Order: sequence, then structure tokens, then C-alpha cells
Amino acid sequence: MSVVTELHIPGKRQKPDTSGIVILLTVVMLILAPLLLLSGGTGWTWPALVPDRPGGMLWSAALSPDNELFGAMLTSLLLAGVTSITGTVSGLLISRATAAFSNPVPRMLLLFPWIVSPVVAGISMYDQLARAGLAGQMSGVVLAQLAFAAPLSAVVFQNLWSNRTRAMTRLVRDLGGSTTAVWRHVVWPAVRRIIPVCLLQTALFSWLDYGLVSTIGGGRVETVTVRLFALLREGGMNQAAVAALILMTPPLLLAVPLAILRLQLPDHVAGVSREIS
Amino acid sequence: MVGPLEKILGGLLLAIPAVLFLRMFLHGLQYSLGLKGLLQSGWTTTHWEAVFRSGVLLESMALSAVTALIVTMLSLVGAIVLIGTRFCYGAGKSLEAALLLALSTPAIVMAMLTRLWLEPGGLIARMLFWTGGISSPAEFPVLINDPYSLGLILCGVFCSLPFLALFFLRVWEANALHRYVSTAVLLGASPWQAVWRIALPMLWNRSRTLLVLIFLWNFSAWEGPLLVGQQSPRMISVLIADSTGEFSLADRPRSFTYSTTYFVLAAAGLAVLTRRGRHHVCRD
Repeated sequence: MSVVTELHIPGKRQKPDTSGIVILLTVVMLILAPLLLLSGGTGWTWPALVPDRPGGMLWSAALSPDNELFGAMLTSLLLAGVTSITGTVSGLLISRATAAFSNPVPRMLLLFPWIVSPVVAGISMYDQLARAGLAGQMSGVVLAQLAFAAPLSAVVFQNLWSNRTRAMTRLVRDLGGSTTAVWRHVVWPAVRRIIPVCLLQTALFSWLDYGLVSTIGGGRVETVTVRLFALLREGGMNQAAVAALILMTPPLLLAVPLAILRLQLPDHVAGVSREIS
Repeated sequence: MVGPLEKILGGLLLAIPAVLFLRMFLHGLQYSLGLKGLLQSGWTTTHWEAVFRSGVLLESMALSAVTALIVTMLSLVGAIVLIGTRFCYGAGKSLEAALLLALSTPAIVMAMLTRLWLEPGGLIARMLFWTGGISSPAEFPVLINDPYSLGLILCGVFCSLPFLALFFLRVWEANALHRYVSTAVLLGASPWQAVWRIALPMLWNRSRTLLVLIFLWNFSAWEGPLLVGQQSPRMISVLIADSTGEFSLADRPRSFTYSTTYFVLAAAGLAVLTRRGRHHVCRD
């Protein structure tokens, strides 16, 4: 290999990871420590640093089925599940259809949901969904989230339709293959490894969404984010900390294997930047 | 090479978001021109004139743009410092873990944490109390909902920086920047000099699009500004959300004037985003 790796230049992994550990501990201190601290009890009067009545009561309450937070968790999970599956499937089909256009404008328009504020979109969509009887309903929230999730995944799938897949498709067609054969031999092998990424991305979008669910749900669809905001407004900091930790759990669970497998999270972002630039 | 059935199916599915977004825009536009709504008056431009005369919208847009710009620049500086730390002090896996942990924290939770730390009754104030710095919350400086948006900027940076830094790490590895920088060090540059002169231009070239995205995200941010932002002027999303006519139907046309302007701006942002680098479109 190169000379550089043989010489001991200050570089990647030649020194102990002290600075990295310092940064990691700082981030844990700043993010996880206060949430864990506050969720471990009730009350937090000035100037105490720990909750007034320590104990795991909030956690056992949050995990009992008749709790509001527990119900919100189920709603969030249901929404995330439905949105991620419908969003990924329609994203895949949309990306196939837009790949057929030689004009780049439809592909550019797919990026619109990436930059538009969900809350402003939710407010502006409310009237048309209300006329269809979907406002304040799970179905309305799913539809609005789908309007975001489908283009989001279509953008990710977009990167797969290269000259190579085009040539492969032509090959399958020339050999007499049907659309089914194209899907089996070209589309499926190409998308197989991206589908989990897309499912997770759309599920996370739905799980963390507050703008759409709070406007279109109109207070009647109660997810973890809606619950968290309500708690923050009421000043129930301890319960809010529990809700915040619950909200953080899926992304964290996702981040851990990513860190171990070195499949870094912004993979799809890199994909998007490639798409744009 | 896409079959007709795929085109029809994909086209129909594309119609869902397309129709929703298009009707959303048209509905707002018609509402703001007095052509829709319970209190419609027929064609009028009074709402638009009133909005631009009052200056509330322009103030909010200016505040959002400046805040987003500051957040983007601070995130860029922070990400460069972190990448530099990785190279100069050999921070490895733990740095990545720290970034992933920060990235896993949603914007709402980040805003809540900003409150928790910086409020007059927050953790820093309590720590100061125990170390004898202050004796009551009133002595603690206002860092939340403050006129300088300090809390909001901090919250934005904590949301955007991990993203950018992880992207930099990926670019660094994918392009083996390590070799270039190490060569520079071998030829006598100091590690920081090498990062600054060699790695930075290469990272900059590849991250411009992402920087525009981060700017646009912060421009439209809602959860953070709602919890830690200032009340007057408000960030654009908060302004629009607050003015939707919860209190009076007469306010709705004004609100739709705001949102229509916002959508036009967002579309302009999209144009900037996609125009940049159109010259080197590369599909393998």
C-alpha cells in the first residue's frame, strides 16, 4: 500500500480514542442524563437536582395498557407501520414511473416534500381533507403522511435506475421477458437491499411527525409526539421525559446496529445529494 | 424500458401527493384572494396588501432566514472542528457513536432539552445555585424565548450538526481523504493545516447541496421555534401555525396569504437546490 499508512502519521486509529470518548460522554451527559434523571421520579422543585419523589412509578404507569401514553404509543406504532409500508411500496412504483420520463422536472418535484414544512402543509391540506371527511381521523393522517413518505422513498429508489438497470431491462425484454420477469430479474435484485432502509426511513418520519398529526389529527389522533407536546405545555416535565425517551427509543435502536455494522444512517441522505447534484 | 402497467400504477400513486399538494396550494391562493371560505368576499387583493403593509410576514421571513443561516454556518464550523478532532486527535468509533446518539434525538426532544438546560429554573441554573453562583431563578439570564434566539440557535445547531458531521465522515471515508491529508502532513503541514487546506475544500465541494437542505430545514423548522423561539417576531412556521384562525375566521385569509408566500419561497428553494450542480449530473 501507500507509504503513508506505513509511517506513523497522526491519523485515524493510531492514537487512543480519548477525544472521541470525551465527546461521547458530553453528548450522553447533555442528552440522555437529564431525561433519565427526570423520568426516574415525580416532581422537580427548585433548586433540587433530582426529582422530589424518586422511583420508577412513571415508567410502570407508562407501560400499563390503560395509560394515555401507552395508547399514544400504539397509535404511533400503527401509523408508522401503515405509513412505512404504503409509502415504500408507492415510492417504488412512483420511482419506476418517473424514471420513464426523460424530463427531469417530475423527479425534481419529488424533492418538494423534503423541504416543505409539514405543519404548514398540514394546515393547508386540512380543508380538503375535512371536506372528504378525513380530518381528525387516522386515515386522514395516514394520507397526509403518505403524501410525504411516498416521494421521500421515491427519491431514494430513484438512484437505482441507472444505465445498468436500463440495459438489464432491455436484455430481459429482448429475450422475451414480461414485466413480471423484469421485476423478478432486474427490479427486485436492485431494490432488495434498499427496501429495509426505506421502510425504516418512512417509519421514522411517521413516528417523529408532529406537524401533520397535530394539524390534520386535530387533537383526536393522539401519538407520542402529540402527548409529549401536551405534557410540555402542561409543565409535566417528569412525564415529558418518559415520553421523550420513548420517542427516542426506535431511532436509537436503529442507530446502534448502524454504528456496529458501520452502515451509517445518512446513507439515504448521501443518496439524495447524489440525486440532486 | 418501463412497462405501461408500471407507468399507469406509478402515475396513479404519484397523483396522490401531487393532487394533495397542488390543491393545497390552490386552496390557499384562492382563500387569500377572497374566493373561498365562509367569509368569502369575492376577488380582492386587500389581504395581500394588508399583509405586506403590516410587515409581520417580512419580519418573520427575515428572522427565519437569518436564524437558519446562522445555524447552518455554526453547524458547518462545528462539523469541521469535529472532523478535525477525528483526524488530529484520532477520535474514532466513540465520536461516531456520539453523533449517532445526537442524530437519534428528534427535534422536539432537542427543544425540550434546550429548555431543560437553559431555562431560568433549568439544570444550569440549579447547578449555579448549588455552587453559589445565583440565589434565585430570576438572577439567571434569559436564554429561552429570548430576543436574540440564543436557545433556538443552539437547538438548531444540535439538530443539524450531527447530520452534517456524519455526512462529512462518510465523504471522508468514501473518498479516502485520509490519504491526501496524511500526505500533506508527511510533506510538512501541521494536522490542522492539512484539514483546513486539503480536506475542507474537498468536503465543501461535496456538501454544498446538503448545506442548502439544512438551511431550508431550519428556515421551516417548527417544533424548536415553538418551544424555545421568541414570540415577536416569530419564525415563519410558527407565524403560519399561530394565525390559522383558531380564534377568528376573519384571520384565515391572512394566514393563507402567509402560507402561499411560504410555498412560493419553498419552491424557489427547491429550484436553487436542483439547479446547483446540474452541470455535473452523473448517472453511472
